[in-house]
Amino acid sequence: MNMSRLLFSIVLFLGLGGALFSQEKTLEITPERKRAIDSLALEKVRDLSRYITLVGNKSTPFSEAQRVIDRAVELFSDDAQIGVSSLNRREIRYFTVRRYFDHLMALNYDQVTVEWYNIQYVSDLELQPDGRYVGVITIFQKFTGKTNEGLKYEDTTKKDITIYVEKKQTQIGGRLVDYWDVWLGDVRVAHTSK
Amino acid sequence: MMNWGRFLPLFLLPGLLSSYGLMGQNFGIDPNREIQLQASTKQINQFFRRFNAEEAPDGQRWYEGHVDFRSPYFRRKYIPLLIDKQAGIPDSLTSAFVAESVENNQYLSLHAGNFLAEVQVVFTWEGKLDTVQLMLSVQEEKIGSKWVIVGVQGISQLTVGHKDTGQVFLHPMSHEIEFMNLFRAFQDAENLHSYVKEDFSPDGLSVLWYEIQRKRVVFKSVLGVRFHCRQIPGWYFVLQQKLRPELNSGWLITKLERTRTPHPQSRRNE
Amino acid sequence: MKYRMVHFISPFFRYKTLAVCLLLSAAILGSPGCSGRKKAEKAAQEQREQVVQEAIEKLKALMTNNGMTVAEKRAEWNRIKDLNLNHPEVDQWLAKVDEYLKQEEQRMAEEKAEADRRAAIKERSAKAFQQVLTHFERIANAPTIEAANTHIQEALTLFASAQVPVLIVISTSPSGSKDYDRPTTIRKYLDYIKDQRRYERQAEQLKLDEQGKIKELELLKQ
Repeated sequence: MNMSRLLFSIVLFLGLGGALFSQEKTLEITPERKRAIDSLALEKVRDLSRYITLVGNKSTPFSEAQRVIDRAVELFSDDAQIGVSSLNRREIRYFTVRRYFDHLMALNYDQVTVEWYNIQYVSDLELQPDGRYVGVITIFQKFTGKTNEGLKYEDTTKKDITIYVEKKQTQIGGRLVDYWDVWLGDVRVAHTSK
Repeated sequence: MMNWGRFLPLFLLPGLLSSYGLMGQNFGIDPNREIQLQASTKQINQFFRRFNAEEAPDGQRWYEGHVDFRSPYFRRKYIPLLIDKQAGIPDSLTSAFVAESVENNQYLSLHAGNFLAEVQVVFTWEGKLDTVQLMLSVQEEKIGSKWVIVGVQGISQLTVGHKDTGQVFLHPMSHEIEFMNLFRAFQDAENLHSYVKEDFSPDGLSVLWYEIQRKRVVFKSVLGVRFHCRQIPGWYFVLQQKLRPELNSGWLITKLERTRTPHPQSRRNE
Repeated sequence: MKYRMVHFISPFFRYKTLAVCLLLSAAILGSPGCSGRKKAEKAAQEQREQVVQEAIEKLKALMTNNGMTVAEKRAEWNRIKDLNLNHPEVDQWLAKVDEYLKQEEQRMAEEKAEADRRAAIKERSAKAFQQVLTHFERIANAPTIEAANTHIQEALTLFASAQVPVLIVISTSPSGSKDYDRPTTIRKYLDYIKDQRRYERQAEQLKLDEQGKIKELELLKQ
């Protein structure tokens, strides 16, 4: 408790120091724009689920699966990690996105389904020091893997997915186009009880 | 007064982007589970939104200018739902907390200071596993903000030989022999406390900093996290995630204490 | 009244008798018939002056934005021309306005041609997009990966190349500025439809090249 108090006085000092700087927001995200970005980000997450289903299915030819993994990896930042914990093992195990997918392919289920609970939460977007915005989307999914022999694996997970948002510009057909680049970062996967 | 059944419907209306229900094939999804997940406080961010009444019962965000934005009516209903019902916090204490938060227009924010994250982290220290607590807080930057480590607790090495036995010391005439007897202190790690000032306590962050630079400490994993909040004057509470298939789940107040003197900095969140 | 007249004339007679006599005789010699014709001529002259001035004013107005269409202005110009006023100033204005109207008529013709051209492009774009949508639908609903790949190849024939940019509008601000998703190519977008089994159904813009192939596609997110 004393230690905690001491720490709070440190925080007080740091907090006030920081507050003296006026924040130069790089650009404003209005509630309307936030809604559009939220649905764009949710769509990226939905795309990811579909890629997981495709890669997990044995019927997907190897070359197709490789192409799909490439597309899934493109949704993420280069250094993104997937951190998985389970009910029995609280410690987080880390995977790169590609390793996560390779692992999924190796599971060799005949049929994989990723079902969504109709519940999600999209956080506010916070400005980080490099001028990009960061947020977290929370979704709940039920993963079912079945083999033709009737073996079935099932789990329900809470996924907290980092999203990054940055306004960028590119030249298309001789004109400058402003666009919102939305990509995924680290994903925290926590198994919940069934 | 904190009757779940009474206020439950507040968090149970259809989700914000219900069209996304069509994202997957929902034939195997238990609707009761969806009701539970809707009620669950899914992020710290949502904890703040609910505490401040900046979110509709259906999850839709209320912005400034909305008729119900920060409405005392909704705050009185929402805040009791953010208390862990299994933590044994007396109803009378919760009532007082709700009343003071609402009546004094106290709101929570990530950027108001007095919000400390305590992260349980596993390191290997010279090949041996060790769990320490990192304390982090949000630091405002010229652009945006970031979490920074402000302290480290629980480094097991630091507690070794923490008692002054009174049997070993640098005697009071050591200065006359140019402290040549210091060799004893540095040979006697177990009794280090006997050789340093009475109120010294090693600073965990400095030790960890040094050991990481010497590559003697390697990060392994995060075990868990909880938050300490002192933003409401006169109150201290702990936030923890309870992943359980119940309506009262997610990020909840698991410890609530009235502090004698309101923390001066906590007025900053206004 | 009579008395007053007399009273008025009396001093006149008294002082300017000679002058009055001379004036009267001149008036008598001039005869009353000659005097009426002159009056009529003067009136006609005035009337003609008035018509000329009105014509000039009307011609001047034709060169302003007076609410008349170019066709109405031309009709008015013809009417004034047909008056055959034979007046140098009118002729000058007729020529000036004619020049102005010719320019206006040409501008109108060009505008119409441009509108027709745009309408034709719009129609061609709409037709092209209908074709694109048909292919999108086939890819999204293909029963097998092979079938989807075949439809992708067919769809690509509508485009100038596989690298044709595809833009997706995610929102439009009240001021009209558009927010886009990360730009992609048609090849990647068609693969996306195959994988995700869904597509955007509304086109914001579709540009065709001279060969009638799509060179840019802008879609609107639902």
